This record gives sequence, C-alpha cells and structure tokens, in this order.
Amino acid sequence: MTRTRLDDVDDALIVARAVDGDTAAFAVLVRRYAPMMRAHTRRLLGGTADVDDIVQETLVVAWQRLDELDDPAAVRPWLMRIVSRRAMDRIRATRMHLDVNEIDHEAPEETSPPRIVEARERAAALDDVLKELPEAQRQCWVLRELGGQSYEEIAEELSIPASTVRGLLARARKYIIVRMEQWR
Amino acid sequence: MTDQRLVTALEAAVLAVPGVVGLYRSGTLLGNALEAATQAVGLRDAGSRLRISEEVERTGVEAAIGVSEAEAASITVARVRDAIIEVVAEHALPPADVVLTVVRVEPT
Amino acid sequence: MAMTPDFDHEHLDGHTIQELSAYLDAGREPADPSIDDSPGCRLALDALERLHGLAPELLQADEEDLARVDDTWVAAVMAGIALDARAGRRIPYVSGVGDLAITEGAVRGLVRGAENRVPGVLVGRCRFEGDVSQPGAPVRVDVDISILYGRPVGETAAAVRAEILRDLQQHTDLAIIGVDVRVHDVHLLPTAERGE
Repeated sequence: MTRTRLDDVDDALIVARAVDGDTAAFAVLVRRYAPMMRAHTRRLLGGTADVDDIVQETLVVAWQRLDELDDPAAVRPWLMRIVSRRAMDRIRATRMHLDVNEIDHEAPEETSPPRIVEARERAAALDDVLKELPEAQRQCWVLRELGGQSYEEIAEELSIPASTVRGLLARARKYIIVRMEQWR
Repeated sequence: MTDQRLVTALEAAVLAVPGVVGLYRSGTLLGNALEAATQAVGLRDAGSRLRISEEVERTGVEAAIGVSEAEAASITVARVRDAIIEVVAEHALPPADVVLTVVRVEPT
Repeated sequence: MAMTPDFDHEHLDGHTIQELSAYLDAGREPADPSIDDSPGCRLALDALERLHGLAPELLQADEEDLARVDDTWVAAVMAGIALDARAGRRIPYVSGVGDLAITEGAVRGLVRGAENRVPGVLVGRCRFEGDVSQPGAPVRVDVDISILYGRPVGETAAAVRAEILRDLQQHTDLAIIGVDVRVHDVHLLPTAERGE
C-alpha cells in the first residue's frame, strides 16, 4: 500500500497534526527547522556556546504554544521569531551594555576578500562578511533579513529606539554591499 | 504515608491487565478536582505513575493508561478498574475510588 | 558587471543611505518621486535590493548545511514535551463503578490511525463539536484529510468516514451524530517515488 511519509508533507498539515498532539509530526518539524534556527542563533550570538540550549528550549515552548499560530503554513517565520527573541533574551542577560555608537567600519583594504565564485559560495561569503560587522549592526541585519522582524520588534529586542535600528541597518547594508562588491 | 508496597502492587496489577500498553505519569491531565475536594493526606510522589490518596472512607487511585487498539478501550479500562479495586481490597484498605483516563490507543 | 554605487550624500540627490534603506523596507511606499526619479538613488536602491535577495540564499544554505540535527538532539527536545499538553477534554465511559474516561487527544490519535487502513490518505486537523464531557450528548466529528493525487476522492473520503466511525464506536461511548470528512488538500508522492 502506498504510504506517504510524513517527512515529505507540507508544513500546514504537519502543524495541524502537531496541534492535535501528534508528536511524530512535531519531530518532523523539529528536524526540518532546527538547522536554520541553529544557524540563525549562532549568527546572533556571534559564537556557538548556548546555541543548542536556546534552540531546544524554543522548540519545547513552540510545542506548547502551537495552537496560537494563526496560519499553520507560516510556522517557519513564527519559529524564527520565537528563537530570535530567546537568543536576544540570552544576550541581554549576559551582556551589560550594547554599544550602539560604534565607529563605522571602513572596508579593510588589505584583508583577503571573500571569494565570490557562484551562488552557493556567495552565501558563504556573505556569512563571512556578517562576522566582520560590529555586533549591533549584525544583529539588526540578521533579525531583519533572516528573522523577518519589523523595526519596532528589533528595537524592543535591543532596547534601542526604532530610529537607531534604521541607522544601524543602513550602516550594515552599506558595509556589506561595499565589501561584497569590492573585489568582484 | 502510602505504603510503597501498595504502589508497587498497584502498578504491577495495572500493567498485567491484557490490553494495557503503558502507565503514564498523570499530572494536570486529570484535573485538580480530586485534590480540591479532599482534605486527605495523599501521596504526591513525582516518581510514581499512580496518584493515591488514602482517606477514612475511601482510597482514591488515579492513573493515566495507554491501551492497545486490538480490544475495545472501554473493556480494557474497566478491567484495570477491577484490578485496582481488588489490589486495594487485598491490602485491607477502604474501598478504592478509581479515576482512570486513557491517554493513548496504541495501533497494532 | 554592476558598478559599486556611491553612497555619498551628493550622489543621492539630497537623500541619505538611511532614507533609502528605510524606503526599501517600506516596499517603496508611499512612492517618492524624488527618490524614484533620481539615477543615483536608483543605483543605490538596486544594490540594496540585490543584497536583500541574498538573504534567502543564506537561509537555503542554512537548511542544507551540516547544522542538520541528529536523533539524540531531537530526542532531547521530545523529552521536554509534556505528555498531557494536548490531552484536551476527558470523554467519559458509561460505567457503573469508578470514573473512567478517554482523552480527546487519545481519540484524535485514533482518528489519525484511519490513514493506516485507507491507502493514500493523510489525516490533518480533527475537531469534536458538542459537549464531549457529557455522556450521551450529541457530538459531531470534523476531520480534514489530504488525498494522494489520482485517488478517487469520493470513495476515499467515504472509506475514511467509515473507518473513523468504526473506531469511535469501538473505543468510545460518544453519541456520534455525524462524521464530516473534508478533503482539504491533495498531495503528491515525493519525486523519487513517482517514477516507479
């Protein structure tokens, strides 16, 4: 008999089953989104310590709050939002002060450029450039572009005004563009 | 303080009933009605999978079980109730007041 | 090859990179002709737009990379999930002695089991309407299913309905007045299996 494996099923159906208590379906969700959530958390934290704790805790909370999802098909941005918040909570708890008055980083002249050869390597290059950003700029960019959050949400996470978020985002984007195109 | 032998005997009896596939830790699952209604000194043992409350006129026993799909769940759960009543009687305690909840029907 | 845009103030016709960055985030709404008509601004916005387009590539790379989680990792999450989080209401059995019941969660699990016996079916959402905690109260069951493309829809839905009804009658004392099976979706087998 033809059986469709849960692994290949759309998010909306998986979520519907998980909401109903199907733990096997939830496990599929976990496998599907944990890698992305871990990578995102790692970028926000700037290191790998605590990443697994944060993502695993987030998933347990997500299970409990799954019925709050308005649109089951939109589970991915929902998960990213929750994990972003959790990661930022952890950052706030362990750092006393977030310096937003950072000196603009001019693109370095002598350091080796990210090698931009094809799309896949471009993603890796972008990842490297992100690491060069000052923390606040990186967090703004990651939360906006990968976490899909609004200026207001980011402002709340970082405890800064939305106008500062706007400025940090612009600076981050300018740096990344210049850096990525420098040696094309 | 509930006798550990009672707990062990009850757990064993429940698991021995044909059609029972599991005995689960019952938390908020069964609600707090039983607790709120009694002033009994009950055993709340996080490690136990049965909630037992020994009172003057009754012995409250709560459990959450899993049953096999092969037999009608209502029949299996009734058998579990009977097994519990029997074990409590064997321990010369006030009659068992049983609250059972099937939390899972296991496919064969 | 694209030129690196100049983000200097004088090349942006009086605008700043901050304004353009925010303009992009606002979806270029409301339209600002002083930006849209400025070549310097357009160049800068193009670069910003291209960068924005790289984000999904990064996400894609994340999905594919070695950050894939193993069974132990998943087990750690599953251990954190409470068993009774989805139990729902208690559905009583008619019984002389003792308080015997089954949870909505257990019954939904049963309903999902229909997909093991009816080929080409995936069961999604399952809801009970009516006061399930009240013995004898009339209850309707609502089930969403997804059917494998190519399977006869009417027949399959009817088979699922029959299975569900049988299971509910066997394992509960619910007074079922109807089982509504809604074909919510159609799905395909994954590509690898389709070529058989």
